[in-house]
Amino acid sequence: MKVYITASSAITPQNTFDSEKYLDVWQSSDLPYQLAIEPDYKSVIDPKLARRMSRIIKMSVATGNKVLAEADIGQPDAIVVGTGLGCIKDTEKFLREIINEEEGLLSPTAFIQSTHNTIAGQLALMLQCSEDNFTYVNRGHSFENALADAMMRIYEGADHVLLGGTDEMTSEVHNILTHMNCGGNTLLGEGACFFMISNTKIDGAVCIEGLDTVNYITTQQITERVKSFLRRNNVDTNEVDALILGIGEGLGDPYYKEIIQMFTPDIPVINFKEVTGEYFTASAYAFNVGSEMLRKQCIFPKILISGNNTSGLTKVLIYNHYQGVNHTISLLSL
Amino acid sequence: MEELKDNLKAAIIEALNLEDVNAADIDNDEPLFGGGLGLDSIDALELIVLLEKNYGLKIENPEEGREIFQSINTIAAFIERNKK
Amino acid sequence: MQPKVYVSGYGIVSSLGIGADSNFTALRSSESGISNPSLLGTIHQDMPVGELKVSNAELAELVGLQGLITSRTTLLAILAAQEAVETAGLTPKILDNTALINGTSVGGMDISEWAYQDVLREKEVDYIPSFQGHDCGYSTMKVANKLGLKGILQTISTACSSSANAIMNAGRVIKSGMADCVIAGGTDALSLFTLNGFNSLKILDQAYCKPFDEERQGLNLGEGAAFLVLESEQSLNKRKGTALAELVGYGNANDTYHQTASSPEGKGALMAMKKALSISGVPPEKIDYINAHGTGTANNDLSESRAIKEVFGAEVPSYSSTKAYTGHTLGAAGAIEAVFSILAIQHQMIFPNLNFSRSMEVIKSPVTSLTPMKVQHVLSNSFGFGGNCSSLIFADIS
Repeated sequence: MKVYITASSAITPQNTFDSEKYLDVWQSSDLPYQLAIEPDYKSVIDPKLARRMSRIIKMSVATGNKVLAEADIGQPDAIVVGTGLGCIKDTEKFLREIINEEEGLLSPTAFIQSTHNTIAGQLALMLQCSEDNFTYVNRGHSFENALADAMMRIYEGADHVLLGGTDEMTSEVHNILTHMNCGGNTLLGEGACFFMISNTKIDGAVCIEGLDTVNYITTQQITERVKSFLRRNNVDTNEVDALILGIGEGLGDPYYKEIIQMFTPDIPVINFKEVTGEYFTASAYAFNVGSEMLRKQCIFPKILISGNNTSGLTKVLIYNHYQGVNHTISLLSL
Repeated sequence: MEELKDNLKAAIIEALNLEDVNAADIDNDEPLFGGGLGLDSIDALELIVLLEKNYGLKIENPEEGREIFQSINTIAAFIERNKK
Repeated sequence: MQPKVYVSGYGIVSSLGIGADSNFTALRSSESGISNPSLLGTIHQDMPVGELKVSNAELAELVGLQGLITSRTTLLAILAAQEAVETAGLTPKILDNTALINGTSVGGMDISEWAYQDVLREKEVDYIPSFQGHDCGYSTMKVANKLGLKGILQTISTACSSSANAIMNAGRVIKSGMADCVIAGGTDALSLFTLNGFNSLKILDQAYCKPFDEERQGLNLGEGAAFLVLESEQSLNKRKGTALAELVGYGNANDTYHQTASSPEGKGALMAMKKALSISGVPPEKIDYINAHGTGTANNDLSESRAIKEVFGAEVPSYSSTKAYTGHTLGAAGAIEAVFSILAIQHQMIFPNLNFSRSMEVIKSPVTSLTPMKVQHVLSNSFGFGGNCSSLIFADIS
């Protein structure tokens, strides 16, 4: 059984939400971290519902709604979301209030909204979707947990699963992560990417051939891991038409170097973190840009870091790691 | 009394994040819950916090709140009645 | 034929004590673990909670992490998971391929909420130990590293149904063949964040909670962790392990009513129970006992009662909420109550719903004293914010 991405939408620090303007004009910012370019939500979310929503919920609901509309699915068979830090802005807000009020009189809204599954729950409430509703919060594999679940649901018999990977950045989180030395050279970022995962191939659908996640693997082991992943999916290394990597700004990163060296020097290499920056669920965007590349047969020059072979795209390999701990390998095909 | 009602409306709009609502849009007699503003039980808890913070009035039982929060008029009357 | 999913071990830590033995002893002698907080540094010193009276330093020593700053959520999880591995008799070779599915609602909040005070007050903060464990996934990683697990790692955060969903997922991955042996459960420590959060919602009982009582006033928060070892028949046979019970059914559904409150008719609860029954193939009349979610809030207990009535009709099985023993342990509740459900099966007895005096008159009253009886099938409910409702069904296999 095959699993397909039949619709996909992303809000990121670059132009990705509006399909017409997808990665056309490059945005630069002076902020010490990357903030998503948010659409005017009034046209996408009922203001009555939006009034309690923090940015992460708005970004997620907007991309989720767009995916549902694009795939023309009113009620998915499940809603599955991955998020590294969840509704961190509301968490901060409630915590700050506890501290300022010394556990005195507290308003409950931020607490309610801070729960990690607020996003998936809110989508269920809006769609009146009573089917399975899961939220995964597993560091650099938060989105991967959700994707693996969505794929398993297709094997279990589901037709359509609404899948998302989402995180928001705040100045406070940025401050703390900077003090912790997270992110290395890569700017921290944020974004929401939603997908319709389906069991049938429709026009423009992209197949997820496989997903492999592994923790604590050495640079020596990574190439063997990728090779065996490709073997399992009956794909030869020279059949891979492009690489989508989460390099960020650390070009010296040995993992990515090893992967690139497995392929011919002219293979197009895309660095998707140029768009998103680094965060727990940044890898979700690799699946969005991969789908766009295959559907549009286009290698986005702004994020192409090497390779010039553009003789048609059928198979693209995704590889990302978070802090050298959580590694992700996947393959998309047309 | 009118000034109290206007202040109350402004405070409610801010506390409940009613982005698209102006104070002038809220009728003093209009039902706050189930009506045009579409307030719900979470808002009721927020209103309890608002009354205690801004006016020093305690509502211990959320059930009691239901009577008081019917409209701007009933909230204003409650504040007047309990003013020290 | 769908492969079967067996429970071959379990471990538990709650305010009733560390380990399954101390929990069982308290359950059968009707001794509640609810008390005033003495370890949690809250101003709400009169607010009863299910607090384990063992300090972080003592817990760290028990798991061999003394001298390090580790979140209580993680420490509780390691203790419970270690016990689960020991009772199942998993060897390092098996652990090498074992998956871990952990559910938690606030992860390492118990550490970061204190560190954040220092950040706001511009005090010196040691950022890495203070904040590295904030996210929910950290506790999963730590447990996996401590036990040497190299299989799939998942962390689920669906509020108060987190660990019920973790156990449900263990069933799904074993049936799909993605894993043969899974450690699944959840953990949550008491925190200022959750205590004040539930207090701001005005759903905490200032006295001992009384689930399903007409006069119930709300819930008591609790803390703890529990993990089950779940295995395929093949895995169990291969290593000559012993099955203690079988996970026969599970179901998740969304109530689609409100972000925090349950629908009056308990739509999500009803659907979750029906899904679990349908997967198990067990007819409703064969359910001997329901370990209810029964938090003690006006809203939950009414809607859960109505949903139970809708599923079981005139023949409502014996039921009780064990939350008056442990408090509501949030992300850990589903796993803690799964262990209680298995204890009920192993010992053929039902644990009482403490503090109950007056019926709500929606369904018959809960069981209020320790009741020895035939327990073949147990249904365990866990419902959470975001309308997230889950039910698990365990069966006796002896």
